[in-house]
Amino acid sequence: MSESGGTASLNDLIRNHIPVAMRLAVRLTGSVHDAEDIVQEALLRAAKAFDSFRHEASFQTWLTRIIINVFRTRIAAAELKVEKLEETYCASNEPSAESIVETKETHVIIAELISRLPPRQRETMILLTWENYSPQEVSDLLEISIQNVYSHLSAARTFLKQRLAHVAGFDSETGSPRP
Amino acid sequence: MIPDKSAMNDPGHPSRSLNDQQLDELLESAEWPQPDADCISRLQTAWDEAIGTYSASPSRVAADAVHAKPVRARLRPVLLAASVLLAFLLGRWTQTDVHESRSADSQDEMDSGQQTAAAQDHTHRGAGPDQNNVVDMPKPKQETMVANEGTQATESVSPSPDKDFSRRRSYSKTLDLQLRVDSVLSCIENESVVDAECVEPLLKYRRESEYLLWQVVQNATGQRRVAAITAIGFIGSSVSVPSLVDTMRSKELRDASLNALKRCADENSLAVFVRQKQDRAVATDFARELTRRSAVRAVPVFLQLITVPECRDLCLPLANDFPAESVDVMLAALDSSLIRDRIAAAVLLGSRTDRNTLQRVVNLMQRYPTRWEPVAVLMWNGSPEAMSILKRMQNNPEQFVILQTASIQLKSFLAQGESP
Repeated sequence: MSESGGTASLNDLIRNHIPVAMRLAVRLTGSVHDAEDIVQEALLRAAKAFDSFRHEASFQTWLTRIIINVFRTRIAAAELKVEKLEETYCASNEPSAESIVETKETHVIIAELISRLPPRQRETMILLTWENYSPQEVSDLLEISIQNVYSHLSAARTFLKQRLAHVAGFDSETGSPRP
Repeated sequence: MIPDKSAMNDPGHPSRSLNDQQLDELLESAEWPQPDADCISRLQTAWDEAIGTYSASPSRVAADAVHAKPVRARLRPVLLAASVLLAFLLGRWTQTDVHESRSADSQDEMDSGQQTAAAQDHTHRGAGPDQNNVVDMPKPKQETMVANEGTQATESVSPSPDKDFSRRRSYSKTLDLQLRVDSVLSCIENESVVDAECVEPLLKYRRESEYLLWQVVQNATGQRRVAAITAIGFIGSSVSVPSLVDTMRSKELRDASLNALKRCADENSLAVFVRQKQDRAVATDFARELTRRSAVRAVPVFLQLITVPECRDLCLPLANDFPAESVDVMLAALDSSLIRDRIAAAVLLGSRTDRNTLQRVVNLMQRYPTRWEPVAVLMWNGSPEAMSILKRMQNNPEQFVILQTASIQLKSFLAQGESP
C-alpha cells in the first residue's frame, strides 16, 4: 500500500468510526463534553499508532481499546467527574415537563447510575450490554480474565438492581411494578 | 445480550432488588445524551488537524528516513570508491613521511628493538581481520596516531546507544533524540503510574531533551503537553523552574507542573514557593518536598522558614517528616553563631515527637548543663517526659536560671516572629 493510500484509508476508517467512538465514550463518561475530549485524544493516539495496527483485530476493536485506555488515563488523573446527566440531557434536547419526568425514570437515571459504577465494572457492563461484545472479547479488550468479566458484571448488575428497585417504580419487596 | 445470567444472582438480597428480567428491560430502555452534529464536525476537524500534525511528526520523519535508504544505497559505491582513494592518498603521504623519518633516525630505529620490527611484520601480514584491507598500509605517523587515539577516546566516552536505538544509528543525533522524546511521551501517556523508568532513554541527554520537551509544551496540545511536563519533572534542571511557574497558571497543566516543580526546584526555590503561600495545600507540598531533600541543605532553609511567622504553623507539623539522619544537622544548628538559627533549631527539634530525638537532646543537656538551647527544646516539646525533666530542674537554683533564659528566648521568638 502506498503511503498516501495508507493515509487515505486511515482517514476514511477514522471518519467512519467517529460516531461509534463518541457513542462508546458518552456511555463511559456520561458526558458529551468529556466524551468529546476522550475521542479527540483517542484519535490522535490512533493516528500515531496506526503503523502498529496489525489487522489482527477489527479496527473498531482496536479503536475501542484506545478509547478505554484514554478513559482509564483520565480516570487515573481524576479529570472526569460524574456529570449531572439531567442538566446535560435537558440542555441538549430541551424536552417538555412531562417528558422530563418520563425521561428521568427511564433514561437519565439508568445512565446516571451506570456512570456511577466503578470504572472497571462500567467498562464491562457497557461493552457487554450495549456494545454487543462477547465475554471473551471483553476479556481481551480489558486484559482481564473471563472470570473477572463475570465478576465485574455481577457486581454491576447487583448495584443496579438495588438502586433501580427504589427509583424505577418497582416494589422493593415483591419485585413487581408499583400500581 | 447478557451472557450467563447465573453469574448475576445476588443471594445476599434476593427480595430487595429487581430480578434479571426486569433489570434487562430497564437497561434496554437506557439512553445517553446524543452528541450533536457540531460535535462530530468538530472531531472531524480535529482529526484533519491531527493528520496534518501526524504528517510532520518525528515518526513520519523516521519513516521518510527509512524510505530514503535506497538513495543511500545508490550512493554507497561512490562513497566507497571515494574512501578507498582517500585511504590510498593518506597511505602514500604517511609512507613518505615515515621513510624520511627512518632515514634520519636509523640508529634510533635500530635501538628500538625487535618490537617495532615485529609490529611492522605483524602489520604487513595483516594479522587482524580489520587489517586485511590495509595490508600495504604503512604504520601511520605519530600525530595521526595521537589523533586516532583521541577519536577513540571520544567515542568510548560518548554514551553508546542501547539496543532499541542501535538500529537508528544512520539518523542524525537530533532526530534520534526526537524519537527518544516521542517514545517517552507515548510511554507517559499510556502509563497510569509514571516512574523514572519511562524517561530512562532521555537521561543520557538531559539538557537537549529538556529543550525538546519544552518545545513540545509550547507546540503540542492536550495530554501530550501534560506528558512533556511530567517528563521535565524527571529530567529537568533548575533552568526549567521559571517556565514551570508559568505553566502552573494553566489549569490543564497545573498538577503536572506542580509535581515537576517539586522535583526541579532547589531548596532555596522551594522555600520561596512556601513563603509565597498562594495556596496552603501547595505550600505544604513544597515544604514537605523540602523535608525529603538532603538534610545538610534542607535543614538550614527550613530553619529560615520557621523564623517567618506565616510559615511557622505550616512547617512545624512537618518536623517529623525529616528522616532520623537529619537530627544530626538540627543538633549541629543548636551551635550556630546566629541566635535566630539556634532558637529555630530548638523549636524544630522540639516539634519532633520521636523518642530517639528526645533522648539525644537529654544527653546533650546532661553533657552541657549550662546551655539553654536543649532546655528550650524540651520546653517546646512539652511531652510528659520532657516536663518531668524540667520540673526537676526547677528545684536547682542554677538550672532555674537556665530555664528562665530558655523561656525568655522562646517567648520573644513567638512574640516577635523573629529572633530576639
